[in-house]
Amino acid sequence: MKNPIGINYKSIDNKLIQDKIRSVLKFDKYNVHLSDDLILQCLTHKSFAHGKLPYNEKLFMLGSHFLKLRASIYSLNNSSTTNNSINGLNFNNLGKFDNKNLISSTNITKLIKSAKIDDICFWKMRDGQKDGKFNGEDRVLQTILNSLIGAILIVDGPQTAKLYVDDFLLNKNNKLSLINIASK
Amino acid sequence: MNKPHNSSKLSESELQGYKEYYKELKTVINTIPEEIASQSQPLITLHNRLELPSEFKLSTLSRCLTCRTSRLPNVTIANDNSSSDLKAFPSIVETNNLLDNHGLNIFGKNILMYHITRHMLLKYPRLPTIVLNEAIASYISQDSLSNIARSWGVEKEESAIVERYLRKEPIPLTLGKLRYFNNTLKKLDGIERLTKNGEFSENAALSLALRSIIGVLYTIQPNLAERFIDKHILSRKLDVSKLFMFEQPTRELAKLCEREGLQKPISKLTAESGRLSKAPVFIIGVFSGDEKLGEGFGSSLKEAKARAATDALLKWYCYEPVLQQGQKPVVDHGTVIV
Amino acid sequence: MVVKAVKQVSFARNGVGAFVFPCKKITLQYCNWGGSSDGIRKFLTSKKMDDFAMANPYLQFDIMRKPGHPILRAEYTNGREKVICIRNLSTNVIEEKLKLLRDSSGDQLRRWTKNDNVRTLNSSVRGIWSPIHAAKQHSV
Repeated sequence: MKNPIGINYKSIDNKLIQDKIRSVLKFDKYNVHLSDDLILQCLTHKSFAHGKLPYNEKLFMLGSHFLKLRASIYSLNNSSTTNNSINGLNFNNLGKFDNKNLISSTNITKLIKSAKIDDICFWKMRDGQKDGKFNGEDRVLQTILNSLIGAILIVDGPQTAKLYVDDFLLNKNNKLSLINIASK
Repeated sequence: MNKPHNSSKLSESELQGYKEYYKELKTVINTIPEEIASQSQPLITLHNRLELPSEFKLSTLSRCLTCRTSRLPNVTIANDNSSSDLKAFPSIVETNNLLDNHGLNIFGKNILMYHITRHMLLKYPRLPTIVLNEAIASYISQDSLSNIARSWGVEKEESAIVERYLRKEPIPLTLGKLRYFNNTLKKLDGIERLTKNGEFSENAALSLALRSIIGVLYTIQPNLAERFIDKHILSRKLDVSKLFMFEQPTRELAKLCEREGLQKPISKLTAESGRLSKAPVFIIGVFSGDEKLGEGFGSSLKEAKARAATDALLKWYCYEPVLQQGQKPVVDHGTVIV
Repeated sequence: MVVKAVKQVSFARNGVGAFVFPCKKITLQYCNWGGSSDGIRKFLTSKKMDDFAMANPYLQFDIMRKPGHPILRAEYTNGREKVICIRNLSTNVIEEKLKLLRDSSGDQLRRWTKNDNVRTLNSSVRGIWSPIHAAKQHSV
């Protein structure tokens, strides 16, 4: 069982995979404690082993809903207030393009690629000869980040997840944030 | 000679009165001043019935009840400024673009989606994805949400503006009602309003209002919105085991046992009655080694066997963990694919 | 995928979690002239009406003048309404009738049979007795 790059699932080096994720995504800084198994599950797409190995489908679902919520709160906080706002928040810009673009699969995939963790994702290509677009690379790779958020939510609770998403992924001053990636 | 003159004069003053009523209504809907909203009985009672906090302003609640579709498409009357007749029959309520529940609805939807998904995943960690989606839908689909909003007694504005004027209805009343189509025309029995893709049916409008209320609560305090969802939506009864339909339960159970490292499931007949009669009953248990996984009954061996496997699978998928202090939550490995 | 999902609706349980008051609006209709409206006219001008309205913030009260016998009309969140004719009734009785309408759930009145005392959405904790599972088998 090998991923598209050729890493064997059965002989995984913890240093190479899990510790890399922890250091690149700064898990220690935000007090995130995900076990090796769970990180590996987040890295495994449903297509990889056809349900025989743990995969990230439901964690992805939870994580993407959470990310969507935090992104909408981010854009609420960052849009100009008018006298039509409610409790200081302006609701007129929600649902606009910029907002959706922030958490689109393309943008998240870009983040994963610039963090250089796309090669340790376990999935199966539809056709190894064809390019990433044909194989739906975007849709597979975006599940990594979302399911990691989902795992943080379940294991470390909403407070940690909130801090992590707001301070790391939706922070202008962080180089590896969705905002900076989207503006590139 | 005098009579026709008089009647035309009367109608002119009536028209003038309608014009003023209309103008006032328009400005009130566009700005929703708090002091006018606080005169609206339906609004106040709705606020009380839902036990909303005092930070939740009445004007904001009225905004939650204003849908974007209550605005008519802009017919340019600017060109017809010269003809005063047209101005006397204004056919448009221009709801201010900025004071509707559009953005609030999106925000409320995001909150609901996240909160319900998290609740379901923590409560039933092993539900298969499609069943999980269906379970979430049973709480927050448009039909469920509109039912909840109806049970709150949200009233719809159904009378035309002319009717309201003729009844001398006070303007604040309309602020407490759900407005989702422009009320320039009278609604007649037997005539249905056609909507594009069913987008703005009554149900859609009701769920829009509900989601917006949750959105506003979140802006006051996130806890409030979560408590509100728990109280009003998650308190509903749902039997998750009724959501499943298995096509090949025995095969799926075998696959599951293989993945989880359990011994191969074997079905054993544990009791039977009247095998040769016209109404036989068989009880079959499905075992993995010494462990009994499930049990089923049936009037044939095949039926009982399938029921037993279904029972075992339901026990696996509908597992509800009871966590001790300090115990890590369960993260499911995913459904087996047969 | 072998497992499929069946659509289900969740059932409302008013009072589990939140309780939303079922009665939402009471219309008091009276006549300014007729003798049968004597009681309601007194009731409306007395302090009782004010007190009742203040004590029930969940309810909207509409007062309507219309010739004919006076009535009370209550609307409920389940979409039904209940009407009580209050002709020739005194203020005290009218107040009782108002309380009756307020405390009603809006459902149609039904006669419960004797064995229908427990109604629940939950399945029995004990399960259903089965002769095949019974510890002691029956013998003739």
